[in-house]
Amino acid sequence: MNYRPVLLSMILALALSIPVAAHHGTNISYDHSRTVVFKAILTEFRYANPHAQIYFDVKDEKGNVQHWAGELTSPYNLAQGGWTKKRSEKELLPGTELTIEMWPSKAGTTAGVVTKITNSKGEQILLGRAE
Amino acid sequence: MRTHFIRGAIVAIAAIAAFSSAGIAQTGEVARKARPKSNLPFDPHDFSGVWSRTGGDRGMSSRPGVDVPPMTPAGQKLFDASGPGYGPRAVPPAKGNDIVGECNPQGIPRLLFFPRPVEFIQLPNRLIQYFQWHHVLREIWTDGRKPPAEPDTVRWYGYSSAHWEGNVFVVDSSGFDDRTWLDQYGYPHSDQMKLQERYERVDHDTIEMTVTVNDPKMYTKPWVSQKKTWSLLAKPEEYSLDGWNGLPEEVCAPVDEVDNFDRRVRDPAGGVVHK
Repeated sequence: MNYRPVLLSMILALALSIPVAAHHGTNISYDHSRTVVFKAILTEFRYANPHAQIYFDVKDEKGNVQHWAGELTSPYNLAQGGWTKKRSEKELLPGTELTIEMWPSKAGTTAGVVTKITNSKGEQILLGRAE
Repeated sequence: MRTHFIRGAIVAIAAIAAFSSAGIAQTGEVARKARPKSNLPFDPHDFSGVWSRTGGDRGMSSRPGVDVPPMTPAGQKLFDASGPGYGPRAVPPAKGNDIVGECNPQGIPRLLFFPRPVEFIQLPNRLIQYFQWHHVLREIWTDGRKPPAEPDTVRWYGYSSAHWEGNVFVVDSSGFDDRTWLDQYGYPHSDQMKLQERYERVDHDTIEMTVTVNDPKMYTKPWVSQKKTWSLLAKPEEYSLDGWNGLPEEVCAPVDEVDNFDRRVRDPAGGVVHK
């Protein structure tokens, strides 16, 4: 059996799943076993310590709008990954359509830690260095 | 050939998985691993350079709860009252009491365990540890003075002086503010804590460090930490930003921004929703 395609796809999947994880003790607040995926409209992005934050609206199946808050890694780790403040803020203007994957709060609130953000071109953005 | 490919792929998967999980670990093994031993020449009495913690856990021990000396009743009471965000006793920071949640100082030794670059600046009368995180300057005096026995004013980072024992740089400190924890797992210390750090540059790229906590008010025996390693960051791109060689200013401030994060993200994530 040729293992090469299987192993390559595993490597790729793992590499792309490296989380932009929290470092301020907050990981315990999130359910790492469950990834939720949102078609989101960005309302606010903050490139700030201790963690960058993303706020966005999503529509549920009934058309109701829910407002969510997402935690990212620190600005330093984002910058180390090439996502400087100017570059990040340029990509994350209010009204931007994004696909956001996150581990949701264990408490069931509309907050989570972001694991992946994809823009409307299908490009993964805001990759931070793992802590 | 195929065997080599499979073996290489498995190593790559393991490395990526390890790196990934390190980013989310509650135990806190630092993410970047030590490099192979360097054969470059070095002066064992010269620590000048930018270093980063690369080996060992982010706590005193190899993992939380291991090799902890028995606590005194006072120590146990404070430990039981601590609510850290890491380790087996972790609680959501919204409901915990770790002072770093409000970006207060981590203190020593905890700041030594945090994997961010630290520049060691060696002067004739002191060694300065310049921590990127919080932009902290810690002075370790080498002019023969001893840490004060009963300082009137305690400090977040204590009072430190050092001497050489062969190639080991021995740092003795006291006068610590007891509002900090020893590490991210909530282990307490008192303002009577005496701390000793022992640093040895074992090759061009590596310093080994152990920390001993002597605090009879909290622990019935001295607590010797796991051996931690620091790796030399030789290339500016390993730590600097914007092409500006030097440590970035990574200050967890202003307080209203920190409060904004806590109220809008951290606290709701932990089940505490503010109106």
